[in-house]
Amino acid sequence: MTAPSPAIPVVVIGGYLGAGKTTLVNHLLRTGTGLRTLVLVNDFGAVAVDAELIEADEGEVLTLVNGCVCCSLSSPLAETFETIRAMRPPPELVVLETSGVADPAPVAHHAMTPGFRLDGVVVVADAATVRRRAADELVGRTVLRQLAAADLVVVNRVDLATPAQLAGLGSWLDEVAPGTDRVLTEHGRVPPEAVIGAGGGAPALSTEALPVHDRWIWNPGRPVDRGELEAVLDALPSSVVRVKGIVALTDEPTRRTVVQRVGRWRTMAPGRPWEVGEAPRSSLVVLGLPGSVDPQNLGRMFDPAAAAPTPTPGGGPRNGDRQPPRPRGSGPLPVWECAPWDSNPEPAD
Amino acid sequence: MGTPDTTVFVARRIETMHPANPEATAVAVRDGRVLAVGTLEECASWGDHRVDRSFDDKVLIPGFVEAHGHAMDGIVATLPYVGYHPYPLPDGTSAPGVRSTAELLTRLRELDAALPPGEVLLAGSFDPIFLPDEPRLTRDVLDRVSTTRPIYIRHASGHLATVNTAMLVAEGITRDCPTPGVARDADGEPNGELQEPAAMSLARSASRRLGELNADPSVLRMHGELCRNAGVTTSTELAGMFLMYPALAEVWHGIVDAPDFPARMVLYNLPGMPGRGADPEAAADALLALRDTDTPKLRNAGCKLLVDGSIQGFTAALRWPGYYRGVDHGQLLMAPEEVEAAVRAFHRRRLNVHMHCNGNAAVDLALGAVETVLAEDAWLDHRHVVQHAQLTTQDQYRRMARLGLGVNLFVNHCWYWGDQHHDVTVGPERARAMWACRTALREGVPLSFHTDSGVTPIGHLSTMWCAVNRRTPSGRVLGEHERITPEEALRAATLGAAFQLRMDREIGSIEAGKRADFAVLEASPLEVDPLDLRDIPIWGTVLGGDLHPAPGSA
Repeated sequence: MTAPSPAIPVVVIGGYLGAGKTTLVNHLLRTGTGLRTLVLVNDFGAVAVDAELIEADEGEVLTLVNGCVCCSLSSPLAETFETIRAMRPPPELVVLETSGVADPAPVAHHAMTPGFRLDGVVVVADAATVRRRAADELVGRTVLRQLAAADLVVVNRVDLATPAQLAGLGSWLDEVAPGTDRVLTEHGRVPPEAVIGAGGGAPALSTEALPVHDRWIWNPGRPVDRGELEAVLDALPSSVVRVKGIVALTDEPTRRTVVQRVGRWRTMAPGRPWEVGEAPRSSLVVLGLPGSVDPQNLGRMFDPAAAAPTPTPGGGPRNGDRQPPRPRGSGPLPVWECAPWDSNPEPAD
Repeated sequence: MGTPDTTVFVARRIETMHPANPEATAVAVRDGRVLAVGTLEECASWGDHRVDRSFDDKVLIPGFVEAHGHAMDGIVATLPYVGYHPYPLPDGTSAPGVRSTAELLTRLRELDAALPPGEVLLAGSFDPIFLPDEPRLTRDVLDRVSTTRPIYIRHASGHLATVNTAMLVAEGITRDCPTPGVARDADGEPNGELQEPAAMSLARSASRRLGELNADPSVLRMHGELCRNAGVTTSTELAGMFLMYPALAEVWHGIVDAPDFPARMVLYNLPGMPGRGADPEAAADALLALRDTDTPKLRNAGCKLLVDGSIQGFTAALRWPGYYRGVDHGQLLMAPEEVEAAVRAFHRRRLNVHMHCNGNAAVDLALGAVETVLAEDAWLDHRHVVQHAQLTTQDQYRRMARLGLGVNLFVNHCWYWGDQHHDVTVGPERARAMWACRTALREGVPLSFHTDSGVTPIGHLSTMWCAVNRRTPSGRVLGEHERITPEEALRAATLGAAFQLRMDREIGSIEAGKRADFAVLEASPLEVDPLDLRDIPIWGTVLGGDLHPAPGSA
């Protein structure tokens, strides 16, 4: 008997034809993931990386200096996963790009066979065309099914979308892809850390129970210290896969700050100003692997970040107040640092 | 004088499918081709000849042309069959249909007794849609066959397998298995049903064995024998793999080009793995290069595109109002943009495109692609074909006619799933309008039929029977207004199919200059009671002048 090797995480990248899956994959290949990564692409001919990144080019297998190996997905999926199981050394991460009309859910199910774990389903949507496609008589259901299977929706091509197209996209996604996270970007430029660890759950067959994350919500009653919070976010155990939400920072009293942590990567980006008379408040959602989130421990870590004895103007909610948690994915779209979006950082819903 | 190189076959009757000479009693063959057809005197007048009276009391018709088959149907000879309808075997016998759980158990126990210990018991084509009153097939049922030998039953839909407890244990499939699709009983234990490919792949011993069976070239030899037994002289592989696995071409040529292989094979190659992207321009160039290796018995005619799934699997893409009962899993396998790009790539190289479209929404997509490409590039005689086309509507037939598209209807469904379409999948009104042969002919759409061999048994007497009678197993006539005459049906099964393969210049009718490919029958399809069409005994075939008797005929 050989010692069991750890399950290989699999990221499934879906989305309708032309939404930007290949661009995103090319971006991933260029930036690397920090892991020995096997990238299975739908159309090998569309792979575009600079020559200096290529360590070896064996026709249908491209080895990059950053540890990525890219090849074409040319066998039935069950066979492909069987082949990966036999690889020595095994890859530390598998990224699998589906075809433009594929339903990512059954593809993701292969990542839930022995030797693998589904890291997440990332669905790329074209900001300008996704709603029109979703209403299309021929392909609408395909597009909606893809979005419903997502853990993370990468809203791509925001540079090509009109403000009118962007307005309302968030609430529309809440309807068609409830419970998903969102990233806005252009040219598929999303940091690998945003794509890796996006899910952890799985889109299940309708009769199956969804494996869900443990969840803990932090509602501090006082404004939060930026440096303290950054330190807490960086110190979280690896069983925490996701942190997101809005905080009121002591050094940013006039507007929200949007907090995102995916894997090891985090951002704290300026959000919408607080309305006149609106009480600044904070709410962070922490998602962890099942059985791994210890509320007491997390409370001990987070609470000091809001411990500064600054009185809360207007009498906001107190620490420990029970508020109904915000539904996953609702509210303003988070803005990622790599996707400058100068004119209109948060579309009005 | 040396040995005459001309043979004159005399028959009781010859249906030529040539409107100017519809009936004859003799056909002269030289160099594998028809020299003349008419009376014995007319044929003899060409000079030196030998008279062959083997078919004195028989009927010759043009060899049947199966324009949508799959060579993998030969697998029934190696993978035990537990489908509902009987299935013919290469040796001329039939695998019996399995009509109940009790019959399934009996069959599996026979197979179990015949297998060496330790070997996995595999069986295929089980179809619970026909057994609505039987309890669901679970491991408990299969455990009554064996508690020690792993058993794997593949369902006809391809979306499901049922295994016994011994298989679950051998493959370590337990209640802790995280793979979706491992169905469970009320206690949370796997019940033996493995749904969809991810869960099915957990039974790795079975997957490996099925892969080996599929890759075995003897399957292709069996297909040739099944063709011969059914009177088919030209068959097709509509999911040709030569573009994906170029080494296959040599294997196939080795088998098909041999004189004992009793059929011509025409391939429509998939440009890439179904449901995946592929560069159609590169695929079309590769197909052009492949054609240089064509022989008279094996040729690469064009490209096959898979646009949607199946109706009985609820995976075909339907227009509103969708399915009658059951959950709609309608799924396009290609985006409209991808279909258009593929049609463009092959069309521009004057290569024929055949598009699998079971649902009418998929047909819309195919018609749109052809319309766009035709406007760019006026290849008027393209003969692109919509395949299966089961739910094609009146407006779509009119549009097909104007775009020059042919339709190859999966009319065998009427017998094999007609009642299920009426009662379950699409409901009475649309079931009556399925495989609308009369509409296709009325609107002027070039028509042929197919069996999708492997899905239903190869044989055009069956498709003709369905097109002419439209009877279902329950006894209903499903869509009396879409019935056609035996002569129209025979034309679709011979010349109509040859036209769609762009081979009507050389096969599909019996007339001077064409290949001497005949089906040899004991009665004429144009003489018998239409309800007896599918029961006409078949002696075998003549291929390029050579006799290929079915087992028991020689």
